[in-house]
Amino acid sequence: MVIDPYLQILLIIIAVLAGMIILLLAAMVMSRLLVSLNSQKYRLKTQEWEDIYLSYLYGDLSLEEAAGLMEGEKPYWLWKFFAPYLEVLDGHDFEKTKTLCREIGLIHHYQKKLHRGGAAGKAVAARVLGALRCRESVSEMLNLLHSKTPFLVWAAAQGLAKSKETDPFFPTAQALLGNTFFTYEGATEILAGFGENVGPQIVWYLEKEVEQLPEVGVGQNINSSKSIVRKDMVDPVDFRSMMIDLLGFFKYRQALPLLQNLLEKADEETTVHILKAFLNMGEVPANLDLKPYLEHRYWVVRNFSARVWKLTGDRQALPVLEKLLSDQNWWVRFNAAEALGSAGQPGLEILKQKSAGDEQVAAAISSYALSRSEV
Amino acid sequence: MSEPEAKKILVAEDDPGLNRLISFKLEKEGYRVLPVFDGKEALKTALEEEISAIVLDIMMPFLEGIQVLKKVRIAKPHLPVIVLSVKSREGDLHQALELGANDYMTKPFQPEKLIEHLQKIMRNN
Repeated sequence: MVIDPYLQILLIIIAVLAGMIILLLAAMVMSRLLVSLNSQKYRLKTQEWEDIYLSYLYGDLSLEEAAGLMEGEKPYWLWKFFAPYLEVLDGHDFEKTKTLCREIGLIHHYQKKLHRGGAAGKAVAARVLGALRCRESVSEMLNLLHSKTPFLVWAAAQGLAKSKETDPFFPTAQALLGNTFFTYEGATEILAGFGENVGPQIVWYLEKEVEQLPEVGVGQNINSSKSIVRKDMVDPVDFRSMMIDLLGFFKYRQALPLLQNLLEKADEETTVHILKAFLNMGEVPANLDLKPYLEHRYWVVRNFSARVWKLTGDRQALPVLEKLLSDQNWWVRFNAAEALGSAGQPGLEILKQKSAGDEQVAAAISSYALSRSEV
Repeated sequence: MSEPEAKKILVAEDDPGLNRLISFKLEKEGYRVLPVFDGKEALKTALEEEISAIVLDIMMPFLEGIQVLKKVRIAKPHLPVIVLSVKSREGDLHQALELGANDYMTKPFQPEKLIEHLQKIMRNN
């Protein structure tokens, strides 16, 4: 039987394609199998290591005994095993874990990677050595902050933040804010990793800023002409805002008097961040007069002030909150109504009057707040 | 004469490593540990078992620690409870103390301190 040559070519193509598909499927199955075997092996290893590690941690095994049982294992697996413990341990137990990591060669392995590895190796090493709080690797991580690869800058910043060293805080903040790859929020999240120990440094920085800021009235939008941060790298207002946000995040209440001083000289953007910090701290300076901020020309300031009012409960400001029920911005009206709803009888009285009044927007938001306070 | 039965402690923490770390230490101190890894399981065990104290993580799957505490406090108002959380969830810690938690610890912490606090609470109770 003679087969048409065209059909012959078609059959060959089909056979080749089928072969390729079968090979691809086989490769997928193999890789899946390898992954599952590997993870099973890792699970078994971690069970074994857990007993060794906990026995070491609580004194049943010596450092040498524990290290002898764990060294020579895959460094990345060992790291994956220790990482969650390092996250939650502190003090003596943390140091003991770190000593074990050093003894089994984990620290040395990643120090070599940080020094001579490729980009991916350096990135992992920075995060590992940071989490292990290896002071001796800080200067090398600081160098990585100048890398042109955003991924490496990110890893170095993460490592430095986790190291809990306070000296690298400002260089890290400058590097993150000066790099367009990172968003303000992303950078703040990484810097929050430094923890509240950097509070005194931030306070020092902001105190210098307060000294240099000119005396201005509320609402005047004047920024410092001199700033401690390098203006060619970061916008000083962004930098200041981030420092204030971090104080709020750390609930660093020792900074309340400073923030109050800064508030008196602050531009609109800084004012918003200070009010936000008060909200995060759940506290305001004792003699804070919120009235000028409740009457501020910028709606975001009015909005945050209405929220901050709940922390003060200052009855003198009730008439201003009442006015805000007719504000042109919905959020301001909403938060003013919420504040009045939380102000007890006098606030509820205002809401009742307004809800029955002629002013449509104030009546609507007052009724809404009343229905919420009834719930 | 038979040995007195070991006190049972419920350790409700969804992080398996941390749960094991605390449980291991408590067992070494002579307690019997009931480890659970989510809020629903924590509530069920707390209500059904005769336990002497709870170590309760605030952030857990299925049911948050605060909700567990609320319900446990109704059924067992005097049961010692220590809550665990991260510092950034300070509001939750305040709420937990208001709801009657006896003490709290923020992560990172030293397991030894946790045991000390727990023993102190149980003694005072």
